[in-house]
Amino acid sequence: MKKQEPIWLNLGCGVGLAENPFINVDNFFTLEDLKKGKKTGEGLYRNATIPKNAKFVKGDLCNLPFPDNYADYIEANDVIEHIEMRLVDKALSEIYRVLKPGGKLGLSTTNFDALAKLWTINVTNNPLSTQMDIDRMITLSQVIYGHQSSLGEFHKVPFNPYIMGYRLQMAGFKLGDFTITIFPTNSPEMMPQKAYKGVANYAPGTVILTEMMWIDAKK
Amino acid sequence: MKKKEEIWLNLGCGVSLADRPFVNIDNFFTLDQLKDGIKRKDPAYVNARVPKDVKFMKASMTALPYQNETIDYVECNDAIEHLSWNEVDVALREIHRVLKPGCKLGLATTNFDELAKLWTLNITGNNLSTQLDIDRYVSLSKIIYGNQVHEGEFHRVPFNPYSIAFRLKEAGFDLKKITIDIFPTGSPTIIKSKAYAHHAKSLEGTFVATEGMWVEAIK
Repeated sequence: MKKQEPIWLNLGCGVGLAENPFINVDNFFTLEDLKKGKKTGEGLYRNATIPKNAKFVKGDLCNLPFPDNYADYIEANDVIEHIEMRLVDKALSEIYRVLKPGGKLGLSTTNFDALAKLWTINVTNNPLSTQMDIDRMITLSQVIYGHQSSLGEFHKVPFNPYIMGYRLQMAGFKLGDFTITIFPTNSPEMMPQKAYKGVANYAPGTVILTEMMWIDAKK
Repeated sequence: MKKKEEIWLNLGCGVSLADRPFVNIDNFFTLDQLKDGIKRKDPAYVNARVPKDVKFMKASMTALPYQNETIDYVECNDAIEHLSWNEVDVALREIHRVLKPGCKLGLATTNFDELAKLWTLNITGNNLSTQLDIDRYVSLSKIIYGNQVHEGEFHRVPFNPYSIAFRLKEAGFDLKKITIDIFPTGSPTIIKSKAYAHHAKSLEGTFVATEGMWVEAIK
């Protein structure tokens, strides 16, 4: 008998779809939109990556179109901060519901502690007298509030390690069953993402990088 | 001959409308919808205020329905941070376009320098072990990203004194004719506002008040 393929979900995938066995999930377009947009070079979809046989489902993170105890692994990269504040708990509860017992969540997001510190150090009292100062202010503004190039690309919630831990527990994850790792700005180490391979977080020449968090949680 | 009434604009007025001679402008509802929302006790309209003979127009701050140099005073309270990054420049250019030469813009917004400092002082390293800590985190998050009670109530751009001056300059204002007052936490920015005096009460009892800025720019 053929071994059953594990179920992996890539939530809030954006236009860069992950390879099998991931099922990519996003609520801002259909696979047809994405393919059509890539062909016509339409702004938002121009940089789309669509691996051969990529699986995609249009779906709401707060109402996942999957049954209970379904997925072996769920990854959510740079997406939880795009959800309205009042819906974050719902989205995390949905992840918990859909994970199999023993299944794992991998989640990356920005660490607002570092953003606040970077603002204070780089922007507060900076008279913006050089182009580099202006660029740095703009880049950091976009890291904080999203780059706003499409409907989904707005940030709506600040997180730090304690807040993330608090919210994970509200969703059902047990203290001791999750770890939160900080990846500092310019860290030589890469986050252990499976869905996001080969996608550089920021283009070379970006003035400010940002501190990230990686959450590893087990149901 | 009767003296012609001056035209004052109250941009991004929200549900609490200012008295004449202000023309209140907002893009998220019509006056009928506002009145209907009050009647239905819709929570989004809970702080609504509709004075007698009030003037209101549904319009976008990025396309003001006025001819060049026809406006005597523009006020914009806690609204500019609700626009997206690109809309801010368009809106400020629109304000500059409609103002008569020598006439003034008065603008209130939050000061992100202070929000970053408040986050570092109150939230970074705070393990959220008491309800007060959690409330403080929720309250500060809403000041940073907006209270999110309806689609207009999201914040999308961080400002501080230097960055608002920079963007006013880009919009055509003369740096020498811009003044910025910082209003520390606990002291409401309404002191210099003509349209906003009735909002004073809404600031009472909040956990974390925030430092605001009052900006004046003369065309």
